[in-house]
Amino acid sequence: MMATVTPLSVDALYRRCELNQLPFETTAELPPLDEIIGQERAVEAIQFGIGIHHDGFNLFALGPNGTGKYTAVAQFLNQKAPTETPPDDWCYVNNFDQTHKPQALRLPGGQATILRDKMKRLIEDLLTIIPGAFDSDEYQAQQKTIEEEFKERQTQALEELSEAALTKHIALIRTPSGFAFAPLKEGEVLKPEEFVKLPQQEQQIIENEVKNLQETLQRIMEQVPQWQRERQNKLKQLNHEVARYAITPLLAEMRQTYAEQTAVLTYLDAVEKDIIENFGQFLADTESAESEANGLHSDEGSSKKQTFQRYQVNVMVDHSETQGAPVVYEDKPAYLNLMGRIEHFSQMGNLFTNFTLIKPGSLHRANGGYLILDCRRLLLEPYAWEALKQALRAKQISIESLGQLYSLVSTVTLEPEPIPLNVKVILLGERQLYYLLTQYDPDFGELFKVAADFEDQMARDEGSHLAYAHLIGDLARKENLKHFQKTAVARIIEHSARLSGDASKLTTHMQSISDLLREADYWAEQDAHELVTVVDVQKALDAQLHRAGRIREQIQESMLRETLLIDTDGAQVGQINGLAVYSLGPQNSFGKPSRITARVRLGKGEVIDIERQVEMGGPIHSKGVMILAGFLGARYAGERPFSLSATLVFEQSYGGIDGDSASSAELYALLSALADVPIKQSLAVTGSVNQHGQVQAIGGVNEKIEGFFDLCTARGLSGTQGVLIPQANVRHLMLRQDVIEAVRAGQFAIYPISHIDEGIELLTGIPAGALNNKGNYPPKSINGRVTTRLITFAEKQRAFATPPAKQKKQEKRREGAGNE
Amino acid sequence: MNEKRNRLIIQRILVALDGSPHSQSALEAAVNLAGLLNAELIGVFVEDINLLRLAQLPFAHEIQAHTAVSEKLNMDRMKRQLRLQAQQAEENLAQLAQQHTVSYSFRIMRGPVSAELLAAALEADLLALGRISRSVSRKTRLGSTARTAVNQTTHPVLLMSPNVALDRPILLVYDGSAGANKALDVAAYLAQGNGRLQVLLWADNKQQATDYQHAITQTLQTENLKLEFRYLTPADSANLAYIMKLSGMGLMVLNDTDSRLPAATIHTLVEELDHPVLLVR
Repeated sequence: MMATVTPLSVDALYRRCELNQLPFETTAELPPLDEIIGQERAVEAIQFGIGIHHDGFNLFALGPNGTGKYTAVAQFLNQKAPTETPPDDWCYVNNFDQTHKPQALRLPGGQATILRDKMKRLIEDLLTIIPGAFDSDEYQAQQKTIEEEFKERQTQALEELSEAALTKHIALIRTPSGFAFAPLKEGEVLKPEEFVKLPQQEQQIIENEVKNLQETLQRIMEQVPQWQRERQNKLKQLNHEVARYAITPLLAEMRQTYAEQTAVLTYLDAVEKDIIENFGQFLADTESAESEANGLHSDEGSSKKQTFQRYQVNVMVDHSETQGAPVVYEDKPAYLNLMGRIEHFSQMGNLFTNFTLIKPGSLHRANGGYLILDCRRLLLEPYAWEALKQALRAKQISIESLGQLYSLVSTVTLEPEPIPLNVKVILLGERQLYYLLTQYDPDFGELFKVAADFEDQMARDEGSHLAYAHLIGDLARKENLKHFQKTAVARIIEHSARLSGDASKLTTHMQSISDLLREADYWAEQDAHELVTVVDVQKALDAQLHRAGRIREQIQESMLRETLLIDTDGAQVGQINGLAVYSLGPQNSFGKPSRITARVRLGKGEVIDIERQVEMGGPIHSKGVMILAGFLGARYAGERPFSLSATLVFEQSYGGIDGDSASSAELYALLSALADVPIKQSLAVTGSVNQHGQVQAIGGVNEKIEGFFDLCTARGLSGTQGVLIPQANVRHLMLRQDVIEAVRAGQFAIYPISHIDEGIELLTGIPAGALNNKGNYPPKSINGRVTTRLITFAEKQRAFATPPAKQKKQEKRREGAGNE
Repeated sequence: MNEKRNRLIIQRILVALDGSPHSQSALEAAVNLAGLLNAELIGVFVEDINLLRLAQLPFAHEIQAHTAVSEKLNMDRMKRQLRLQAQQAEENLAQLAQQHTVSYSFRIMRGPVSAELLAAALEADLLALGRISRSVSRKTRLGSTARTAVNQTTHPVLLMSPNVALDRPILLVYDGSAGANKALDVAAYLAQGNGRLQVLLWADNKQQATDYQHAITQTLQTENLKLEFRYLTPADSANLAYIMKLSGMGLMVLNDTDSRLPAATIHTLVEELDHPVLLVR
């Protein structure tokens, strides 16, 4: 008795989007949709992750590209961030004690630029005020007094000595390099010859006098450096007093402005001290030598600029324009872009830097708010991931030069004071990255506690149809596209279901959908439609297919010219049309029939998968073959030797294959070979099989059916052609319109198969056969023929295995048994 | 300059060089002046006989100015030092003279400095020297050589101090005498440099001062000079030095031989002022 499998009705091949579920005429009527559709779980996670204010509750939005992760996160942040308090400003100022460690200064939002401008004006003012103070007559007089005092002190000592000497007729004389004492006679130095003529005693007296005077002079002169120092100290003190007096009113004004900013006040104190100590830099150019000696780089022309750089304020973050918390998306999350960097300038071939060359990174800009990063790009940037983690762990941003850190370059650099960090990082990435990080990076789980898992598909029902329509309307508005007619929307929804690979789901891969919308808009524009119609959408879809169709058409041509041998009529033993899917990208996959053949012979109970032998088959394919061998052995040779050697191959396959979706086809081919019954070549088969012979679901069912259909159509539909698919795949069917029309016309059929027996009956037209009460299959049935063949193999093998004498005896005995 | 007026003729300027900052400014001023008057410059370096005598004394020691170390003096050493000073002085002279394309000569003399200088000055029309030389005392505003030159020569004398720029306005002390008119002549000539001339009118009364001012304005009407007048009464004579200091002038031009002011007053003034002075005679 043959169980007949009914082909699927037209209704089962395509689930339409019913127009009465869409209560509008065009998407223009639809109000904007404020929510993200189909991602309830992810949205909930985002809300939680962004709302919670604890360490480590950073967010990882995971899902395939194009599912709208960024849109979802950005949409939520754009609602929330503006309501939060704007963060403080940060700037770097000179550290007057340790120049290489610039000081970070926190100011209320918007105040940093004000401080910068105030400091700039202060220095400009000082450039006129300080020279004015030092130019004043009062200062000049005081300075002269000090100088005079010193001179007088020195002169007085010398004069006193000189006068004392004169009383003894000895003169203090200036020599080219110093001083000397000489005895006088009538106002002139005593001539040497006269001196010699003097009595010995008198000579001795003069010599002693001179010696004493010399010693006194030496004592006086030894004091000169000390006096000099005193003079310098006095001058310095005077200068400082004058400078302080000049700048006090200006600084007092600044201090009043920043009375509540203790850090700024401390900074202003340091500035005051430094200005007083280095007042010379505000004076004329003659003083520039002094500032150079103080370690300030000075260059012709730029000297002044560089000297006053030390009083500049380097604004790192300015929130004067920021509304609420900042939301920063860093497109290129390189180390330097994230953490900020220290730039250098070249001077005479050497590299120098200072605190004004510290540049902020996106962490600075996002501090106090949100930073969105693409995880893949982040991981691709050297050191960026480690640096980000370090910053989040330490809760501060330290700017370090990578070259310096790894001793690649050695130049003057800075150690800016770290800035406290309070930021929520949102990583966007594929699922695989998330799982890899979870597994291999121990810090990851600690720092990214919240995962927002994006779905790639959503349930398809009346509600989601409408939500989709809203979404299409939103996209049309956002992208400035024409609005879509109801029918066009329905077609897009149907296509979305096809993309999801399931008639009862819709894809959430919004990028594909928005691309389709843009393309449909283009065609509508081309055809001067005011609204996008279903024709435009179909045109866009056809065009997509056509653009991607080169390889598909080439393969089909090869089949039509019989370079690739695929039969679509007649019947063959041990030969069947399997179906494979070629995937050239997310939007571009197509089905292609493949000829699978099986040959059997006497052997030791093995099914040889040729693909595997030559390492062109993947592990899943091998597994499928082993499963079918398991089914075969258990069903037909459970209690006798399985003396079969079978070979299975995908004919004309020159690339690798994988997947188990051909395992049912392989089994059919094998059964056909064993039973020696031909298989109808007008049918193609897909589906995997388990050890009990049940046919199981496979992927890409639509593409596979269409692949075979296209070949049949090209050769002319005979009315007998069709495809066997697993029963479980019926709900995935969203077939092309031409396939549906052919089915409707009875020219093509789709058969849902749940068991191998159903399939083999359909393929051979011979009943599979069920076990009778004796445990045998009917001899004419497929199963019966297979069993008989296997018994024959087993006996032949035994015959080969036993010596001739014994063999005869056994034959006799068997004859006896056969008569029973 | 009005050719009819009695022009002070200066063809040779003798400048005393001793390596001190004062003498350097005297040199600079002399070179400028020589350039202006197209005069010849004679640089003189006098090897002080006192130093040479001192070096020959058996016990002579020198205390080094910058180290306070005492070193034995001898003739060779002293001669070498003087030679070096002279060499330096000549180099300075040559350099400046060439810059201003002034013809110059240089000579070294040996003997008492003032006497040698005065003797040499006889052949020149103007003697330029520093207010003080390498003197021990800094309190003195006028060194002994300068004083000798002021008191004992009949030639015009230019006394210079360092750090006084010659481009400041020239200051003339005018008392209406023939000597003062001579000085006015020189001052007006020199003032052409920056076009400004300050005149201190030394008059018995206001009327006289006004007359002087009128006379000067008349004399200089073709000169295109900016004239500034200041009136001094005899009562001011004690404070003259102070008043002059306040006027912030550059070179002061006055006449001490043919003036209504007593020469002694003028010499005191010259001594008290720490400023460059041109004594016109």
